[in-house]
Amino acid sequence: MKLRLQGPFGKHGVTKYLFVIHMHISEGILSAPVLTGGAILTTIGTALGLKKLDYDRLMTTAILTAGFFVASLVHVPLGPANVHLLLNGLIGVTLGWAGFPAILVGLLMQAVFFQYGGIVVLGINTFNLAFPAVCSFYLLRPFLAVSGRKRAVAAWLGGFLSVLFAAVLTAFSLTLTDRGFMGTALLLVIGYLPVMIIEGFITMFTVAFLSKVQPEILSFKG
Amino acid sequence: MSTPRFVSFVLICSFFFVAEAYSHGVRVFAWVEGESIQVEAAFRGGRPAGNAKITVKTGDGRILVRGLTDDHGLFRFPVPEEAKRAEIDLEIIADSGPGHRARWLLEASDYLKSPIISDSIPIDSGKKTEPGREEGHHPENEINEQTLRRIITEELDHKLDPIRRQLQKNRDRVGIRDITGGIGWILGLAGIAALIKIRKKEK
Repeated sequence: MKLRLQGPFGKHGVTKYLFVIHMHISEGILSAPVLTGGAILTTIGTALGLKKLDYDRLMTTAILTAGFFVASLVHVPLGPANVHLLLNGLIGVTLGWAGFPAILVGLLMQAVFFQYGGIVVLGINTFNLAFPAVCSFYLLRPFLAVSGRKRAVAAWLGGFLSVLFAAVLTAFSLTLTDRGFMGTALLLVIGYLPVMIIEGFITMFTVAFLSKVQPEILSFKG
Repeated sequence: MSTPRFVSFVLICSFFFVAEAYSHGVRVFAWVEGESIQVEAAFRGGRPAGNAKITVKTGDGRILVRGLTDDHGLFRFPVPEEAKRAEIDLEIIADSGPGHRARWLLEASDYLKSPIISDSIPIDSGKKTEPGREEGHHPENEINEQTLRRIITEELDHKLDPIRRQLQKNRDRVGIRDITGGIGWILGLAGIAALIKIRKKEK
């Protein structure tokens, strides 16, 4: 956790740290106020998400949750970093607020079955991933309704920006407990750059695919 | 493509990705080797965590030892005198980057059991009698027994080491069972949500 940045990227060079960075903050790192804040925000988001989630979209939500759950096992070995997919952007653009319960359940399962993160940090981890997802939903939704290049670009941006914003939020929650925001943020953003690009494409292709096979997925309102 | 076909497409895709997968995150474990404590930090799946910060604490939070792991994720330190005297359980924490931290509790009984620590005198006299070759000497037999015990413990530590690692590795492995289990839960929860929603809809 303590980065000890010296010079541009620290004593051991940035690569030493990059491959260990990911967005499941372990237990025993964050302070109680950060944990509580995260839990409260996630509770609100989840309640809103569940309220807005209607019956017809439950299956889509479940499938995307399963996808999110499994995506964490897909490591991206690009460059020095070895980080895994998040798919929060895809969840965001397709589910909107329902992304909160989806990511919450996904992270819970990852904590139980893969020992990622943990139960205590579930709230803050969910918020860090789901809030960017909801943001990209509102930001990019208008462009996803139209077909063609605009939609492709918007979908790509959805994947890219959601990971970027999640990295910034994660850095921010670590900062609230510990230290220098810029250093942590920089490491997380650089570390996740390959994931951002890849998630952009995954979201783009998935949205293109969905628009062909299940156009109704993309035509609902938040 | 209909919904069921879409579902199966997604599920098949997900299995394609995860044939051999490990969860990550750092883990740490420690064991006694001779007179020192060996700490190993590794990522789940076995990749060693070099440069991880190791902190050894007592139960009440006092820091006894600090250090960094080498490239093999190993860090070795002598059993602290203070811990030996007071028989404190040691909490060993490995920290390897933002959000990664793991702990391991080494109980006092673990490192105190090691005969080396408790009997420094017989070992010395054991070494002295060896070149003398005084056969049939009774004290020598006793000493030899202790030396033998020490050697056996050391050897066992050494031989058990890979097994310990393997056990740890297996525990960290994410199997197809974990994945199916998780997906099953997700679908189950969706089912419950569907039941609740449809009941509300009917009303």
